[in-house]
Amino acid sequence: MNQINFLKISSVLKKIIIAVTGLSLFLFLIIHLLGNITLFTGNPPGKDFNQYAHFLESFGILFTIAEMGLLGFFVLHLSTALYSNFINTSARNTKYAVSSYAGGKSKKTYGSQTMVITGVVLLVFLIWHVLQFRLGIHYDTTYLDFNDGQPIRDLYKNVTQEFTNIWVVAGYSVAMTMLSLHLGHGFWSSFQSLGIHGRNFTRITYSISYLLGTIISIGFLLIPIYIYSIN
Amino acid sequence: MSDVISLNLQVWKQSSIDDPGSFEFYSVKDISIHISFLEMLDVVNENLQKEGKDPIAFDSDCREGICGTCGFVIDGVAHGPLAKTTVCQLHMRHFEDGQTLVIEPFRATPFKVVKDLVVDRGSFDIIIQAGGYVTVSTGNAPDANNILIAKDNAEDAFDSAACIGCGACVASCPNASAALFTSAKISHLSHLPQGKIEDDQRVKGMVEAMDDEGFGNCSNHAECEAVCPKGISISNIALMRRNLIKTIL
Ligand code: HEM
Ligand code: SF4
Ligand code: FES
Repeated sequence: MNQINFLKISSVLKKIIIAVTGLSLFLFLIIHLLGNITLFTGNPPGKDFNQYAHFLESFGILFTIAEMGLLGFFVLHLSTALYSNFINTSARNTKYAVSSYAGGKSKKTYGSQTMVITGVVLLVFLIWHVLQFRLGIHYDTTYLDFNDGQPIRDLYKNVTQEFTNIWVVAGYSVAMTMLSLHLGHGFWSSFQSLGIHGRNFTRITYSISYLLGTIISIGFLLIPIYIYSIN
Repeated sequence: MSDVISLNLQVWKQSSIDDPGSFEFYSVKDISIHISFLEMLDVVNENLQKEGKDPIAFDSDCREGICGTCGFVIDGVAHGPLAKTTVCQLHMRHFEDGQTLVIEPFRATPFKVVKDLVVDRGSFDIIIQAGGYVTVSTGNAPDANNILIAKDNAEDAFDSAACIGCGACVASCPNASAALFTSAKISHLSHLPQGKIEDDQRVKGMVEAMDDEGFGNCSNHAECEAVCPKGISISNIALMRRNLIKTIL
């Protein structure tokens, strides 16, 4: 009794942690996607994108703190989700011979039942993604009218090098399909996990959930497809 | 259309808690479409007993859909294919002649199979004991309408109180979570002034008991609401979470 046991967080609290971190990651994705629009603009190509990347890095320590925070949210999200899933699996030792869908008010979908699978694929993808770009080869470029003509990182070159490889584009397509499924259940579910429920609110968030997931995934996927097609 | 049908039943048979159990096949004929699913099993059992065979054990009491004693899974759906209906109120006219049905007990680690389709739902009692009540001083019964309750609150409380504790929500949940049952009991009392004052200790105690009993965590599949014979809404689960957040803030 009264012994502090950090692993014994209540199921409800676990779900709140998954939802808060999940929604924050969702918000990050939107900002990330909006920032990446610079890949499509700029003359010469890549100028806007490289300047945007340089602008972010110019925050120095603040940028590092933001990155670490993001990493922390990821770790918290997936460790809580995986731990929760481990308990869920042991809550039914004997499986059903037949399982089905009751229909009606049910929101059990392919996406909702594959959160761990899509999540783990996303994790593998994200490690690869960070290695490709954030920790990728450092090329330099200069723009006479920017940064006093001093060299800045040519991240655009990394992007074009990667996305001219059809296998990389294929890998991103798989990952983005996983993302659309994960967010398809995750978006409306986060609000429910936080206790935000209303007859209309829940109906609307649920009905746009898979749509939102798909729009964001397609948005990201346009980048490798566009770069591949112009090179 | 004929008034009798034949069915092929694939029923889970398990002699005791420790028996691993297996499916048994029964071919049943001349079942009136006007009887309930449990009455159909009664007919099967009568014939089995005549042949000196072990009948299929299942739970039932009221057979009116109000006590929550009956329940098993038919073709992967708790309480069978008809929404808002317990198996005791599910009539055979909803099935087709020659149909094969797989009948399994409610499955969850905390719900031990006692025999065939009979499961021990004692974990629900433990959850109730952890806070599913109001503390009142005993004595004379208070006057009616001493405490005024708004109509909407009374209606909401009644909607939640409709839960009959059958366990279908747990059975249908991919995670074997007891969130719908527990939250229905929490909401029922939380909507009323008599219950509201003990909100904090109730939600903490009942959620802890639910976790300790070994139920899974709710992933918002909402399959529970779809199979619930009383149509208990997952809005109850949201209320439980709000109440728990309030204890932290
Ligand atoms: C792009 C990154 C990601 C985003 C935006 C994201 C977002 C979300 C959201 C919004 C939820 C719903 C929260 C809720 O229902 O309360 C969720 C749930 C979940 N996430 Fe993620 N997630 C991401 C990455 C991951 C990763 C890498 C894993 C790794 C294993 C993961 C595993 C899970 C699981 C298992 C759930 C379901 C938990 C449950 O149903 O109880 N997610 N995610
Ligand atoms: S919430 Fe519905 S399914 Fe669950 S125990 Fe109560 S009546 Fe049965
Ligand atoms: S026997 Fe009472 S609800 Fe079915």
